[in-house]
Amino acid sequence: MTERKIIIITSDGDKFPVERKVAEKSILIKNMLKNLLPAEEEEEDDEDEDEPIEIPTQNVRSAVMKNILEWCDHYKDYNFPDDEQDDDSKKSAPIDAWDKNFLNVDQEMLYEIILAANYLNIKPLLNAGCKVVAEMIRGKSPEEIRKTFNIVNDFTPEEEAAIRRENEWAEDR
Amino acid sequence: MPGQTEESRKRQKTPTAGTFHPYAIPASLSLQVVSHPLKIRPAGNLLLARKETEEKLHMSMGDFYRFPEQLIMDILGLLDSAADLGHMMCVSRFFYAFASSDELWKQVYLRGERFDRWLGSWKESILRCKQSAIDCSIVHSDLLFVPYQNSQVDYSRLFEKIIITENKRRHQVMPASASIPYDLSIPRLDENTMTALLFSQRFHDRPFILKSTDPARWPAWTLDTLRARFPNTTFRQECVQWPLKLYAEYCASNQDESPLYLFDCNSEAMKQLKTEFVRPGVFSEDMFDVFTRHGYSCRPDHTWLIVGPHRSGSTFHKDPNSTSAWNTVLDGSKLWIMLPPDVTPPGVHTNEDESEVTSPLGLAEWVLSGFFNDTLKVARAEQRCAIGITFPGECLHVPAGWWHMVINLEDTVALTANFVPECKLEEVARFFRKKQDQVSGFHPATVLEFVRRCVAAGEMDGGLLQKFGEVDSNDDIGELDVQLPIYEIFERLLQLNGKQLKQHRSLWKSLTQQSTGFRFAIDIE
Repeated sequence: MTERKIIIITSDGDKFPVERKVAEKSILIKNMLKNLLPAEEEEEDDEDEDEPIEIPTQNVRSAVMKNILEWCDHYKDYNFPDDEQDDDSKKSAPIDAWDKNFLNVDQEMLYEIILAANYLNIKPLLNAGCKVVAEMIRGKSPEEIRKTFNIVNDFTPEEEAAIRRENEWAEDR
Repeated sequence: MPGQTEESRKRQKTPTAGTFHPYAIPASLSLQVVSHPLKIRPAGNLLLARKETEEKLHMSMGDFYRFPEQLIMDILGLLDSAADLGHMMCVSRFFYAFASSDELWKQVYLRGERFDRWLGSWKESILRCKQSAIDCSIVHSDLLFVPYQNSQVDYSRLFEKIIITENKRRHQVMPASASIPYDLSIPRLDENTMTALLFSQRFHDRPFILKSTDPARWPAWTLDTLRARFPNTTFRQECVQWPLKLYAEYCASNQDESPLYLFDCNSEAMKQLKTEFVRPGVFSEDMFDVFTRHGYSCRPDHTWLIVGPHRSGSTFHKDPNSTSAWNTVLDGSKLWIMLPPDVTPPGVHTNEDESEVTSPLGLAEWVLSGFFNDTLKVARAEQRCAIGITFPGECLHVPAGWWHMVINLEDTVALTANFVPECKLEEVARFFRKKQDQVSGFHPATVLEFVRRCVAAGEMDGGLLQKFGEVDSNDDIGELDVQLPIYEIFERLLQLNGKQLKQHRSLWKSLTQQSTGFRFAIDIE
């Protein structure tokens, strides 16, 4: 029995044929497939067995999907532990070297990968992306953080002075 | 559970829910409006906000404007130093609001930051500085607003009816021999009239309150008197271990959604305090005493001092190892909601064998989202549930296997202990046998040492030692992925004390005489 083809369609209409185990790195898609292909083994020969399954992803554009699928392909034979997110030791673990290199993209692409990973429910990729953003914050001054993320300082000078004063203890360490 | 589905369907049809029982919380009270000290608003309000506000918010968030708030919170949660979180607070109003979330600062504390004085919040205590309230009214976030709203819950209003009723009832003490019709409340019985026989015949599976005519029956400890006696002694309060004077400061003012609860068994102070009270005679018979032998004990911790501020408490749970418990309030008052073992509480999810129990909501949110009212409906249908309040000097019986939830209506000091009355012996043994993976409170190395001593004394078969496998941790077995032959040990210990389990009388004999393969064959009921 041959596996049915899976095609992911992006928001801008591109089609990506993928292996099932690559697509299933996305828990969203995995659950979708579970509903579309119930009890695959027992299934009778269906007339539309050769029909590929098309999965539209309205929130992800082609350039981002290409990256997402590269990540999924890299990890297709790796089983991530279930409760990755709540585990505090995982939280504080450094970013995996391959992920770090993979996420070494321009900021816009990084955001889009994070949002796509969030939407497609790919926790390990989402976590890696969040860690990269946290790295971009760590050790920076408030002004540097604003610059990095295009944030406008909307405090009054008095407010800003008060907040800095109340934070002194953490600063002096 | 079909009963519950039926109930929830009814609820949807009846918009006037809240008037069906005198204790029910009317919607007008559960929708109480609070205002956040930073003027943060609920997310829904953004729909009504002017375009101008939205533009301001956009600038204040920068690139993060596109991110769901949970993602932003997760990213801030990865910043583990006070300095980085502090910098985020200085960035803009939006990030001031998010980086001020006290849950984040609590995490900073748990990762190693320390303080000696509590200044009203985790953030202020870590920064050693009271904070001025910055206007964050452009921020609309449920993630920030809802926990604050829950922390402002006013139980004295929500439970006003119960409090009034229970205050009237607290002086109505009956003899244990009286006939007591069911009426949702927890009956108060004269301690002097409760006998072991009455308990085992009528009360072992019922919640009740024991009360003494002697006002000095229980010690009159309060948080203040305990602090005066043990200011620098450390007690365990869930994830922290603080000296009592720090914890007392915390109790006086905090905005935690679920305030830290002091639950202590092994502090130096507790060793002293344990000698200063006498447990009720009817709860003295304790089959777990067999786990102490030759001056050595492998018994799970079982006697606790409990101190908690107003709003603290425990979400629904069953006590460990199918033990029974008593709980005496010494100061303050506790609201109890109790359901029999087979009635899963509303708002709680369990799997088939209850090895997984999830109570996703904290106490306040559980009450405010209507689950308390749902419970009243379940109680009406079941006619076995119990809701009541215990006041100082009142000792509550929590029957084995019963679901219970406790809310401290005031700052409360209490004593509690788990025990196994003889009439519950079979149930506990069945729990050890059938729910091995749920057994908790035992520590592998301690149990192993205990068994070694019994083997050396010729009281246990040496073969038992081989059932331990590799013991490389002495953590609570409830936390470990190991199983110990607790059932076998318990059965043998009972035998040594002249007690026989009914159903499996021959098990010990077979175990020690047959090959282990046979064990599985007789384990099936």
